Amino acid sequence: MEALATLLAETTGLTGVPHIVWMIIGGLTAAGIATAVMGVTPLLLVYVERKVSAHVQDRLGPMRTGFHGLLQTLADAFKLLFKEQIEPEQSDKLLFVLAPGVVFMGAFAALAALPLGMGITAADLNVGLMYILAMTSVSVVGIIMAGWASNNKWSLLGAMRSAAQIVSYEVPASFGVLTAVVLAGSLNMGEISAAQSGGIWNWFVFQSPFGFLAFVMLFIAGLAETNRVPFDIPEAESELVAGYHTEYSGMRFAFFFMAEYVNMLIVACLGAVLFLGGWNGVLPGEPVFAGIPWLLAKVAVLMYVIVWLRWVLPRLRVDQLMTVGWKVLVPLTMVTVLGAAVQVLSPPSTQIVFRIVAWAMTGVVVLISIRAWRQTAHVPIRKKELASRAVA
Amino acid sequence: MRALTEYFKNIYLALETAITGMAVTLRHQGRPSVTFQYPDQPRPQPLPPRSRMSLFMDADDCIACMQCARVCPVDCIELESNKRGKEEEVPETTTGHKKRLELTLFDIDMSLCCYCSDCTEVCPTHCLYMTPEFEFGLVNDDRQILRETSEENRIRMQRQVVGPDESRQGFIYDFMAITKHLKETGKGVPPNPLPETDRWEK
Repeated sequence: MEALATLLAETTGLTGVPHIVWMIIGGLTAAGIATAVMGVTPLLLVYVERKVSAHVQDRLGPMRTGFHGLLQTLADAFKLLFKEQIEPEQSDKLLFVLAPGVVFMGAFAALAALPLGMGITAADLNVGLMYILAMTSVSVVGIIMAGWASNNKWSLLGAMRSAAQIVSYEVPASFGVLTAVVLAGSLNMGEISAAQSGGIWNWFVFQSPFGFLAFVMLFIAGLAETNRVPFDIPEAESELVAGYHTEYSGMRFAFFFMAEYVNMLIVACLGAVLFLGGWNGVLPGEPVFAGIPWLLAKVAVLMYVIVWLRWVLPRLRVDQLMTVGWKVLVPLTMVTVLGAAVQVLSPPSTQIVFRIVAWAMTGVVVLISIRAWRQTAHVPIRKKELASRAVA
Repeated sequence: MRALTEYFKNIYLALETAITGMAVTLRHQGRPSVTFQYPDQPRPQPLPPRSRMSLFMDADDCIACMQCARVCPVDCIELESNKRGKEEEVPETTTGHKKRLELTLFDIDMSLCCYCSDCTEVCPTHCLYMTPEFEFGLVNDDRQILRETSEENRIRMQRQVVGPDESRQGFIYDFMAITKHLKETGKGVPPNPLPETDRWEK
């Protein structure tokens, strides 16, 4: 915002205007951009999710609304706008109405500190990371409010489970984030990105084995934070109808819906900025267009993986979820923080060892993937039905 | 110590199986779909012969035994017949049964029909049968039931038992008029799809 304010002051050249005015205008512009992102991301993400889900299941997905279903999300948004917002009779009116707002606000506020490119952040806070983690935790309050105020047993159960899950996975998420902070030496998102400049070998995933592990664990914890598969017990359709947002309809449901997708965006953005080099490109040197395309590409890849994982893994039971959170992720993330601290304090001549180990880990994952690809060559392609389609 | 190795082995297995699963789903993406977009693309293969899609009666083979009307669980078949005079010649059906009664009315209310095909099983001459024709939605002028599609698709979908207007009042199909119309215009009645050996013989 500072940068935006000074940019505005310089380009318009009006000297008599107090700085606070530029700050306010800059802040409002940044808020406008964040709102635009908040509105557009779910649109794109819902369409991508529906299409990817369909192709994984050998079907086509939305095809009739617009060219290949591009206008499908707009149609959904339209429908939700015009739907009647029903309130249960015995519900706690104030909490019922406030809850979607609180959840939405948590996700929306966290967008402020996310960078879009080099020097392009709505609010370049020095404690940006802490702010983001804090804001995403505010949604838990909204979820509990929603579950309680719905006056519905299933909603309450779903809200309780969701709150327990999100709070449990805050710990490994914070430790994973802390690993990147230790490696970079700052809580400022911009500085963390800048610390990874200089080519793909300087990204934290490849700079440190602890960075690699922390990235994987941050990704898993992020999945749990946003209630995505395999951690989607709170909104499991077959188990809790729809969990804490059962009783919501119309625009209120749209708020929950959008908040979930924006949370996905925040998790993907965190992963990209903290471990995958932020706006830096693959080759050393200044990234093109202030790195916006690079950051968007990395975020897009991570979001695609999140959508992809939905159709790969079965849902975890609530006790398995807690086991994974507390017994696996928490100790391992603690180890990564410790290891990152050791690495940062080691002399520079030993850094090459850490990098080699990180590349070795990447190699192991690549080898596993290649073996998995070759093992699944038998996955049937159902030639019989495809041949008969030629008849029509 | 064992527990520790179990712990790490579990973690490795979790990641490895997740990656294998991702490879499977990746192989499915980008493949042509196995679904087709009806009604813009017609169904590539016809339905199997035993599909209970629509009922048809060949009125020239009916001996007016009323078994179908009696067995129907929803009473959707209306059947009336006359006794022939003693001097008249008794015609025969294609299956060799003598048509001792003269059929005067045979209406099936398709809105009541539940497609159980009990009537097709008791018919002794096999003139009442289920055909795999499923595209017989009604399109009124004031109430579009079918989804909007091209003109030729709409005509194609209405081809089953759409006789002249007096043969169909809403959902009540007058099979005598339908059979007469189909045979006179040369369109031919839809054939009985069940092979001879599968029909129940009295």
